[in-house]
Amino acid sequence: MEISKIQDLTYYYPRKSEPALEKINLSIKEGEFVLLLGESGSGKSTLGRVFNKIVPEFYGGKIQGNIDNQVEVGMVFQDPEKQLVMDCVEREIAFGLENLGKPYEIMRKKVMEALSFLNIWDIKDKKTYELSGGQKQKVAIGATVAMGYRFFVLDEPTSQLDPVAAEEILHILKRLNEELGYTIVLIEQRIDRCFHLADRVLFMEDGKIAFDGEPQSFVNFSYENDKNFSPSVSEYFIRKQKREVPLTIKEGRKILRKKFSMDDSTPFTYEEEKISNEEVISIQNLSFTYENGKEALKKLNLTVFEGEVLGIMGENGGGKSTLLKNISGLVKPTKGKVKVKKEVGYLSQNPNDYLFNDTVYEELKYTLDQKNIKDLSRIDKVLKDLEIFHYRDKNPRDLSGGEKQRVALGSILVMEPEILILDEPTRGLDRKLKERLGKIINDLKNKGKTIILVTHDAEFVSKYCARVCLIFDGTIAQIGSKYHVLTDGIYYTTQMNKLFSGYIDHILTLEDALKATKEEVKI
Amino acid sequence: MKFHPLTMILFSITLLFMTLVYSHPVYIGSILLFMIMSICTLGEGKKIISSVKYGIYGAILIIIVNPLVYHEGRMVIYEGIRLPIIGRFKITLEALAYGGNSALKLICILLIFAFYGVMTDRDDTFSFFSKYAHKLTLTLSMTINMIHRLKLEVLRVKDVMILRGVNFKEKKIIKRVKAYYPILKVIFISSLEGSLDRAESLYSRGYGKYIRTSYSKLEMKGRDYLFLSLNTIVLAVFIYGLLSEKGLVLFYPTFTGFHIENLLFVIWIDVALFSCVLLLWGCMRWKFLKYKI
Repeated sequence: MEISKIQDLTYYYPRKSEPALEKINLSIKEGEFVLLLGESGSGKSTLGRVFNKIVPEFYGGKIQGNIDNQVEVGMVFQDPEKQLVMDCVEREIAFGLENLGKPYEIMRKKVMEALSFLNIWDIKDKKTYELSGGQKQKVAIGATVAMGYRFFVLDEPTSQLDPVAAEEILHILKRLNEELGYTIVLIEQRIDRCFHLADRVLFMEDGKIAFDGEPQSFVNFSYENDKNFSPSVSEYFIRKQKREVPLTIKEGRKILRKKFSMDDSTPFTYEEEKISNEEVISIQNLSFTYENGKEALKKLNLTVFEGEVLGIMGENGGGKSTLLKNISGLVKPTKGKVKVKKEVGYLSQNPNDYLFNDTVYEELKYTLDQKNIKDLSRIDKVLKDLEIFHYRDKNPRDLSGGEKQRVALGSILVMEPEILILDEPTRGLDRKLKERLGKIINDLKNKGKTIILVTHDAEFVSKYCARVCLIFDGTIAQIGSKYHVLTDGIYYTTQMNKLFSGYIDHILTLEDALKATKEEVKI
Repeated sequence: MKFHPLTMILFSITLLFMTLVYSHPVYIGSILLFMIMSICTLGEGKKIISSVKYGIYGAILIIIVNPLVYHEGRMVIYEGIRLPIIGRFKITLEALAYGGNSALKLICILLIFAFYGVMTDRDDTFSFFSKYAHKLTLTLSMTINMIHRLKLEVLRVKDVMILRGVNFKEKKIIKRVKAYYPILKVIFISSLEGSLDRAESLYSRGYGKYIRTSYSKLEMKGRDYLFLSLNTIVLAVFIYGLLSEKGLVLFYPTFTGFHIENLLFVIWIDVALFSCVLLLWGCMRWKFLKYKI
């Protein structure tokens, strides 16, 4: 049954001459799980907002065409922080029901059911601002579930979350779709994690729907049109000219099993990157205890060498941020020694924390002024290196997410630090922007900079880091070459490694996989 | 162990009236003592310090300023030169006592708010008010959420600015204010941008589209009725005392609060107030009051 139909929809945001959506024709059937993909700025979020009429009712603007919805649509947004309005979890879940004017008895039941379905009884009485990001997003979903909507639109609900919390949210969506038959439209960047959930994929480009069809066909479309939007497993097989392309690790391994055997696994011969012997950061027996008594770091030892790109991974709350604060000198160790031989530049998770000046140029100049550096020619040089010179006189707040990040990075690079710390730099970035960031990291590495990358993104680490350090409960669980650390685990590893593990060992990236199976034109 | 917001609103109003109307320091002292005992009985002694911490400066200021600007009173304890505007510099014991009494009242009022906070649950108060003032309670709730977020944001942005070379430990106050300016600007811009997201979220959750209902169903319990009964007794004693002019004194030209009748009547007030403390103590210790009613 068709529950939403959009015909010839063209939409302009207020005071914009270019349409955000152009000639959209779309019909959504009840119980479908639709994955809405596209690059940043392609119009996905705007289309998502059309379903529950936030566009145009809330945003205004010009609209042409018809939107016919048979049911009410619930919406969950990207940033869980900005969705929650009430003080306490239970009241937050009831908030939407209060707005709908439901009687108390019905509200009680719906709140109870939402709490039970999402298994969040334990946080029922907690304050919303005390929750973790994942818990906040669960509460936001719970509040929408409680409102009784059977059609959900979710705009990148996992982009601000760590992988564990993101998996939990995607699992909830799967249950809503499979157990309750809810219709889901999911806008997402983590294609590897959610592609297999979809019944249908919509791909947007310049405000238009460029692809509408089954996930299998989308893999072909993505490959043929060089879009790079397929899961890495599928990407590997399609490059191997396989007709039936698997979407999951399970399906992929089934195909590989025919060719390879677990009994005689062959190791992939990889090349270890050469790392200099010169230490730039030397940490010995570092312990750090916060004022509230929380022991964040426990006798941690770490050496960072000049010119290397070191990836630091680990659970939230495991001590990564405290380690970074110690390295950058924001806090002093409770015990132990931290020797940092060169100047440190630090880029935090949120680029908005850096941007307050009227132009990009002023933003970079501010850092120079604070550091008393008179050489203003550095600004243009950095802007050119980061390919944002053409935004020199623009307000940095008017730029897109990836551009803002580059301006924030520029405001650090202008100090010409020899050590650069990047905290979760890939959060919220699409594949293209990640590749761009990767290129910047490689360029900096080639200039001899030492880079510490703190991230949950195993794929990114495997591509751009030489060594990886896993931090667990305030101590180092493992440190070494990425080919060792990321290939003998089950969680801190890449999709490609999961696919080949046991058949060909030490494979991390798609390039590794293609190289290792070069002779096998067809698998 | 929390009480219904209505119970505590009524009781706090009674206490507030008593504090404002009484002028006898012994009466004010009794109310202050009652509040300190009540808060301590509930095991929240630390709240007294945190509530009075900032008020104490105001109280000291009142004690200093009143005798400086008001020169009435017979007991002159210091007389000096004539000053412009203020006139002859003169400090009287009565003016000092009046300032002290006013300071005591200020501390009392602050503790009434702390007492209300200790005795009720914040969500219950929101629920109670949301029945009658949706928008106000929603604004308050969002403000509380926001303040918490802003606190974290300020710390985060400050770290970022330190690493960009900003010195927040400048000795000159102008330079220090200048150093904090970017933090304020970042927070301000982020808050403005965030407000649109919040408004969008509210809209998508149906806010303002229908006539709102309230999720809360607060019930008055047995101990609320008991407390309200004691409140009625306190109020009755207070009104009776007022009608017979108890607890009211003059400070100028000389203090008139030494009449024995006036001093004895405070015992009734104390008995009424301390029966409330007894009930609170009972609610904390006695299972019947704590769980059954």
